[in-house]
Amino acid sequence: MIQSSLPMSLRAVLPATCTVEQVEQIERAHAVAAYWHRGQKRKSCDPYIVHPVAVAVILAELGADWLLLCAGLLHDVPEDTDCPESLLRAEFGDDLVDFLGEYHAWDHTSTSSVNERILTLKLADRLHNMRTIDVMPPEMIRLRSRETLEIIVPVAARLGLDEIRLELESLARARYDTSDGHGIGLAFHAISTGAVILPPAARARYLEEWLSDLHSLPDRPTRRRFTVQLLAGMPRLAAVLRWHRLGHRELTDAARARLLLTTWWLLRSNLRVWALFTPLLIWMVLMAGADNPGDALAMLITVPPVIGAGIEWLRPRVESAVSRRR
Amino acid sequence: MVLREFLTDPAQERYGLELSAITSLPSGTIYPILARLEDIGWIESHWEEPDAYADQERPRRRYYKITRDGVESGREAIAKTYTSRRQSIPDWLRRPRSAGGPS
Repeated sequence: MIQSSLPMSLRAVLPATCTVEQVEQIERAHAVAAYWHRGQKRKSCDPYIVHPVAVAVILAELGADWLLLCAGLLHDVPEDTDCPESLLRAEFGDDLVDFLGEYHAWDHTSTSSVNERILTLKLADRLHNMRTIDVMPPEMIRLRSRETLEIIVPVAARLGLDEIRLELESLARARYDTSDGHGIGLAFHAISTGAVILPPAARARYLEEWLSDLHSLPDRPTRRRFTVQLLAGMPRLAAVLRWHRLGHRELTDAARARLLLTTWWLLRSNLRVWALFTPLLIWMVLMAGADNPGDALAMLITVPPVIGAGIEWLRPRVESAVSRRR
Repeated sequence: MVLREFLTDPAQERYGLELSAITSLPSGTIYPILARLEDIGWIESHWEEPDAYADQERPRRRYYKITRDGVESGREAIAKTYTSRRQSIPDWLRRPRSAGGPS
């Protein structure tokens, strides 16, 4: 029933020292994980097995041995599937099953007495989860990012895994800013909210880039200016990032004319424009208010004028494009 | 202006905020331009190396650099603009004449 071939991404990074039997064990671990996670999906809608494979790849790149790779592939099987423990014991032995038991029992409160192999698996697990965290609800992203900064990053430092530490720190800091005292948190919050109009695939990259920019700016007024200008340019960036997809499909002239006329129909009336933006604005304010009422107030004061200015900027341009076409 | 900055020293890598300061263009203008140039393959971007930001207390930067195609096509595009305006092509836009220049 169980059939498997190891994904290329993992096969390519297997330790050169693995014997044939050890590679077979890794293949079995993959097959068992794929079988028991069958039908399960990640939040991203990827098949669940993508995650344990990615964890095993990270472990292999860190130079982990075959046993840790098996643990990486199987790490969520005991907790998240109906696989009987006896089956895992029979297939992979007591050591591996006990290891996974310890792994899940670790509650993050103390790292000093924990086996380094467990911590290494935790790092690989968290690294892949952080790389793919943007599909999670915002509160979960903040929570996981905070936990990553406070607990997981120091673990990586303790194990001397600098590359992982830096990547985890960067991913987490981009999603959970700790320097609200300098107004970076508020600015980043406003930018994150405005960035909802960007294509999801590009959003995380730009947010990380802008958070770095916010950190590089010297004071609160320059950060405020940067944020307002960025928010004003957000629709344009969204158009560029989304347009290129349309561009590949070669928009027909008729489709382009239709798009232009629809945009013009929308922009001509203030009522239509605000009917479109008000629900979005209410949603943004509610989201911000859930965290901090001050954020909501700041958003209520700053966002409508920015949208208004954007519309005023766009209106004559679309009008002249329409009249040229006529 | 952004393209001019890249063409002045094609080997130089720049990050978004830096380009915004050099060109005096607002952040909301710079990023759509960079996205467009990257989309058509005239510039490429990559994350800062971990060593460079390790002790900086900030997330990594994204660096942009002009591609070979960007140098060629960018020079042509700007030269065309100058020609159409009947202006003489400035020195920084002229292709290096030395042997082994960009192929």
